[in-house]
Amino acid sequence: MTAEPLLKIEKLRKFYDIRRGMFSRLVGQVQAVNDVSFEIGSHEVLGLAGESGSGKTTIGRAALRLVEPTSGSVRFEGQEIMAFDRTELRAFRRKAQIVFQDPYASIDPTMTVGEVISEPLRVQKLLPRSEIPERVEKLLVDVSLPSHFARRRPTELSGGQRQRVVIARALAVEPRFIVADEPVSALDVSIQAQVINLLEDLKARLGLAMLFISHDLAVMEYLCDRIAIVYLGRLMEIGPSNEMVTAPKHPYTEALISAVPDPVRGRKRIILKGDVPRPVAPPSGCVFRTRCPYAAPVCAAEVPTLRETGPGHWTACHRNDVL
Amino acid sequence: MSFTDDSAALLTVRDLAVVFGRAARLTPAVRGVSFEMRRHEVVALVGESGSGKSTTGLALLGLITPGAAAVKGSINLARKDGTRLEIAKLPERLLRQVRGNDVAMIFQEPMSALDPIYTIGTQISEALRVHRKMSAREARAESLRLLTLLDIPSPDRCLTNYPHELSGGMRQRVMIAMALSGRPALLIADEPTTALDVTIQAQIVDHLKALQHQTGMAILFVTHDLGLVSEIASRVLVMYAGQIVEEGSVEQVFKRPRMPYTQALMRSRPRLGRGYQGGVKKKIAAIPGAVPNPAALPRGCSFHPRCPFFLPNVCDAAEPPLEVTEPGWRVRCMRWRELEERAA
Repeated sequence: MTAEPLLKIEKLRKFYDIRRGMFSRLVGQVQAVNDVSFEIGSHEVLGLAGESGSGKTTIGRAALRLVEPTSGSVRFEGQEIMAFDRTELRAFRRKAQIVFQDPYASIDPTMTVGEVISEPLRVQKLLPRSEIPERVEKLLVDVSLPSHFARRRPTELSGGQRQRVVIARALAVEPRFIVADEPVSALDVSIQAQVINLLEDLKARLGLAMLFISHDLAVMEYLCDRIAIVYLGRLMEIGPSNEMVTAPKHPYTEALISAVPDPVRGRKRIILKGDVPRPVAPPSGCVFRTRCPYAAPVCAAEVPTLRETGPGHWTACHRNDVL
Repeated sequence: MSFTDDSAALLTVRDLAVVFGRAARLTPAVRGVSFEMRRHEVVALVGESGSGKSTTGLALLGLITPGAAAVKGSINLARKDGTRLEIAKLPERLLRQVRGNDVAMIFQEPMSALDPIYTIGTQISEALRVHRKMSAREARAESLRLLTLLDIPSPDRCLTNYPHELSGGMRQRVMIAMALSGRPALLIADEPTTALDVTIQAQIVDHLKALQHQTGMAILFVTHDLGLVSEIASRVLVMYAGQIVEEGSVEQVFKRPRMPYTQALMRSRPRLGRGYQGGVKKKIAAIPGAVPNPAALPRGCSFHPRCPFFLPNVCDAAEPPLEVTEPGWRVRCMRWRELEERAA
């Protein structure tokens, strides 16, 4: 990356306290995110992949200061968002938006589609009231919905149409950056493709940067410039998306890729043993070692750091030599 | 018909129709579904939400609440003792003997299928004591055997666990163990891995395949994921808007789908490692529009409003029949032959 990145996350850490008993005694900590650093360029789409409990959603929320991290830094356009006061935070919310997974839960069913989409404009007082209908119409066209949909109620819409409305609402304030948290996971296969193509198109047309959170690597390969893989709160590997899926360098990425079912048979399958360990007591050293087919004594002793294993490709593994 | 006759169909479904609602607002969920399953066979039933795939699965076990929906047609099942039963007309009392013993089912969300207030041990033992008339001691030993079969670490501890103490993958294993407890000849698996992470999904699919080999049970694998179909099934039924639109061997259908919907569905799914062509990012071929509302189906072929090969006055004139295009390969499309000749 040449210029300053749009978003720069450094040593992000989010631990949740577990308290028990009458005096709320601290009995442990859930290590949701541990020591995660990455950057997103101005017009870049970064995919963040991981299984449930990997911390990917927490990272996405921390990037927008929707959760307060335990430690670490999140810089947007060079400014530390953790230091923002109310006014600055409000200005930041104009530039950075979020799209959630479930379009049934993230829309107020009592509003019309027009009201849903224009809500951020009204809250932020960005436009005179008289200009709002025109902007709503333009936003609907942007997400390939007919403009008369502004008068409809969300209940009349299908899941795919609802997700377009959510995207239009996020675009209303003309943000530079969007966190999309599993935006197509709740949709049918045939509708997923429509929404992915829409996101791809918006990225090209509006020059948006995006953090695309998903468990679906096939979708990511199509949409993302780079992919980052997280496991138990730690960043395992990050690199260009085509390299990540065709030539992964971390054993976890390799297993994850091989587990994706494909209509054409004959791929090598690696079946990992066991479940993801609990984030209350993650394994020492490399958190993946308990399920890793290549684990060696060094993996239990030391936490592997990210090392550059190719141009723009970073891997946190002690055993790179064997892969 | 003798018990050992393997060539006879295990299950024959004829003109199955399920209609929800009452006179004024009828919603047909399943429309004229016919298919057969042989013993030991693994068949995938594929479709998007609203295609009628899950409703079909539920109907096979007589699990559609009378009153909520009308079930018509014939569901003929060969029992383990060699007799044949008509499921669609069976009273609840007899259905209970079939469920678990002859046909078992596993669901997408095992948490809602397990009782939260009983331990895993109690729940598996109950099934064994009811279906296989075992004593408490025998039931415990058999429960342990089943959990071990599913690679559950420390199975004796698992027996004392409550469902909420287990991970999603473990719960689904317990569900499978319970389903196997009655030694069913047919297992209906309704999206059993959809709620699980991919690495856990791979484990469960592997287990199901191994167990199918060991026990010889047939599996009807209901899923929306075409990728999974080729992992597990040898034959596939594709459903759209309540009907079967294509049926064939996985090899045939995946290599050269004949129904435009199957073709479009296969192309709309991004495939890993295929995102780039000559260094340029590819676009996914999305299917325009949405699945039709079952209460207001399009005239003629249900897929015609979304079909790239729609021909006016042909596709919207009459409903295409499910035509046998080759032995074992049925297709519901007016134009399949013409389209195939043009493609060749």
